[in-house]
Amino acid sequence: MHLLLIDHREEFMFKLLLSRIVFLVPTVFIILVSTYLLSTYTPGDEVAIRLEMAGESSMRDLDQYELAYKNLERDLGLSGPKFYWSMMPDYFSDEIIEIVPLFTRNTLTELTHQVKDWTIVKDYYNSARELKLFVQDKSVYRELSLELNRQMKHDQVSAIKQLAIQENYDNSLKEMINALNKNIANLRVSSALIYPRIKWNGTNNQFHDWIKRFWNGHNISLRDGVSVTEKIRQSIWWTLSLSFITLTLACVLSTIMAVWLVGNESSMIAKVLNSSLYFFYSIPLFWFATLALVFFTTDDYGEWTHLLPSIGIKFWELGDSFWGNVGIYCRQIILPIICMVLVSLSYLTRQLVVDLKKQSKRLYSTMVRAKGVTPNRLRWNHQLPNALMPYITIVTGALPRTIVGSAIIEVIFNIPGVGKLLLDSIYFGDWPVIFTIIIIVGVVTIFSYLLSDILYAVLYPQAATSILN
Amino acid sequence: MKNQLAHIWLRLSGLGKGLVVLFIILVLLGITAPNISGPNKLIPFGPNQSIEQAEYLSPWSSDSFGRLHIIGTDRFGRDVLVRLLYGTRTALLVGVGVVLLSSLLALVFGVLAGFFGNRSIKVNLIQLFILLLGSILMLFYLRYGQIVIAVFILSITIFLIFILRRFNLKQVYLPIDAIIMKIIEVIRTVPGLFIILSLFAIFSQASIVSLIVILGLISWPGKARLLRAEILKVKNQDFMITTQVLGLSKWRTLVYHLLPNVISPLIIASCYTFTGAILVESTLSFLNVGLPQDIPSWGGIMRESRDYFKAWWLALFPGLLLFLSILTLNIVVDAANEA
Repeated sequence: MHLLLIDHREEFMFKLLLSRIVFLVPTVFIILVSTYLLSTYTPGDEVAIRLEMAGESSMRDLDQYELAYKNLERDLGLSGPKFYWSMMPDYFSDEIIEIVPLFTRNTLTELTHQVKDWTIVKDYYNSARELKLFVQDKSVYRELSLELNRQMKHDQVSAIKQLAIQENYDNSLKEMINALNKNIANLRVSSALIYPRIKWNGTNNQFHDWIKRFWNGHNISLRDGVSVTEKIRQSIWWTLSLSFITLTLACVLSTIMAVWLVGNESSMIAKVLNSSLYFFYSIPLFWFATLALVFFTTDDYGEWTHLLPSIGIKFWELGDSFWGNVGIYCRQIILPIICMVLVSLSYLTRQLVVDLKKQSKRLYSTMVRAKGVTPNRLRWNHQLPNALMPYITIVTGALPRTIVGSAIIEVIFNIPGVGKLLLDSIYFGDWPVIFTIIIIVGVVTIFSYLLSDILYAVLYPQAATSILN
Repeated sequence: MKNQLAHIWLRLSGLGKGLVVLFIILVLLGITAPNISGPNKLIPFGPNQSIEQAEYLSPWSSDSFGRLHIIGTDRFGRDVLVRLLYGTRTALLVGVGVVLLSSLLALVFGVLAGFFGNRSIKVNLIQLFILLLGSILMLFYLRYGQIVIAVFILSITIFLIFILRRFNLKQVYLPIDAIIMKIIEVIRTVPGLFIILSLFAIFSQASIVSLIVILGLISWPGKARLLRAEILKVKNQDFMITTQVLGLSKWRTLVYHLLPNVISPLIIASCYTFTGAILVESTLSFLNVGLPQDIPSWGGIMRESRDYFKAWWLALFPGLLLFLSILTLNIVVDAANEA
């Protein structure tokens, strides 16, 4: 089996990659679809908020407002059917999803589901809209206009009727109110049998648009109108550099420590180190970081505890000397890195010690020792490469975990990375940023698993067969 | 089971035994929190009761009414000890709930993948198609509120599937193992904390139940995989072959002979689920995206220390409880693994 694999190594690698990538596509698709589904359930009406910020109001001119709403909705990719196909009851019509604003559309949808006949609801909607259009430009009827806006629901017929009686209307208005009342009277909850109707919407749907916009980087933050791509580009370097420094330090230190620990098991220092590793393994990262922050960055607990600069990353200022800036950065980033390294270090070292001990029991270790190789050389040159196999999975698996961990650290230490951006966006309800970050992190996670498989296959081809099968 | 517990207890070091006792006391205090705290009780404060002019009292100091605050008070003058006890309750609820839900899911999927595997469930493609169509239609009618028709369709689907079993239709194996493994792989590639964060951002009305459901849905795959591996190990042992020779039914074999032999790794893994769940719960509360602020939680108390660095007790004690719980469970799990 070994020989066979070595002979066909390239072909084998190709097969492995292919199988992984074939798996990758549906996974990414599932992440995209579920993120999209989440995005459709976000509360609030994005279009209305933006129109309000731009100074448009539905109270002034309904026609104009509807037009502005429709245009903005189309620009934001929120108009039209939601997915490639839809399955709706037979009474449902595509005309409903053309109606703006969202509040009216939702009310009418709900109404249609109760009445189970779009034509009746449509008559009601048209007469109500006509009435609203008629009264809106007469200042006398402003009151009525506001009132009708709220009373799109059929269970409040009497309120509208009373309004009609109270005031002295001219004839055309009276007719309109009569027509509306007649249409409202037609709205009755029906329990008729419904049938599903499946419709293919083609590529002209919101999901398709959403993916396209995401791919082209056309998403815009709701918070300040800055492009999402730009925001993430600014913050991702912090997260990546934090994770990279942490992982590198943790890997190097854990390798040295694990090998040393296995060699000097019975020494006093090793025992202390072992138990402190155990403690660090159980320490919640955010508690450790908070404690460090509370005790070591202020003067509150005596002068000597103020070991490290206060939180907050100082931005690069022109005029300061380059090395001065680097010094400030290093001082500010040192505490977050210590916290992250200590926690991942304990985990990695414990795993590696276990794997190294397993190697000591294998026959080749005895064989190598019998040949006269020093114990240290045995551990570094013979046991370590073999023990690294599970280590690869752990480290590549630690990559997404480090990014998540750095999110907590970023929030605590006020570092402007992706994690802090995500949290800030969550507090603000800045959906485009949130969804972009979710997708990016998801894809990074998938690729780190892919990386682990490839490393595995390159370094340990015999073990890779089990991955493929 | 009793034997195993005794075995684990004997393997614990002195420190480990002390920690376990402390943990049990903490659990009991958490469960009885409403009985020992509140007006005219042992600790005379409620979890959300603000005391005037008692903001940021340091531990072991008295307020203007002369009542002792053993672990001080927070920004609003609420007693931290009571909040810690109620926080323990929250953590326990979340931990136990997640463990139960994820274990149930892991059990179902693990058994389906490991015990039934790729070559024991036979289906006919027509039956499968009917099942798929029936469930889509049922969901449709449920969505639009016609429950009677949904039930009708469900019964018709089941009836049709059973009728079709009478005919000798061509049957193929359902590769249930492969399907479940793919599902597990997909879920494992989803970055958990990020998903939870965003879910809670979207559904701002978070409750303990929704937290349990989301965490439970995310944390079953690891355990299901473990259970499957264990089942595959045990499946080919002699006693399993004996059950076949004796002609025991599949369910009897599964419930009385297989599961008792594979359940202990699942219980051990559940300890990790528990620690993971309480860790995520407090991390979320710490970041102020999880449970609403009026539900006391360890992470929520710790968050308040960030507003006022002099209040070290707000940072130290909740984290200490969390740390000790995690440490205790880790020590117990290690002892169980060695035993």
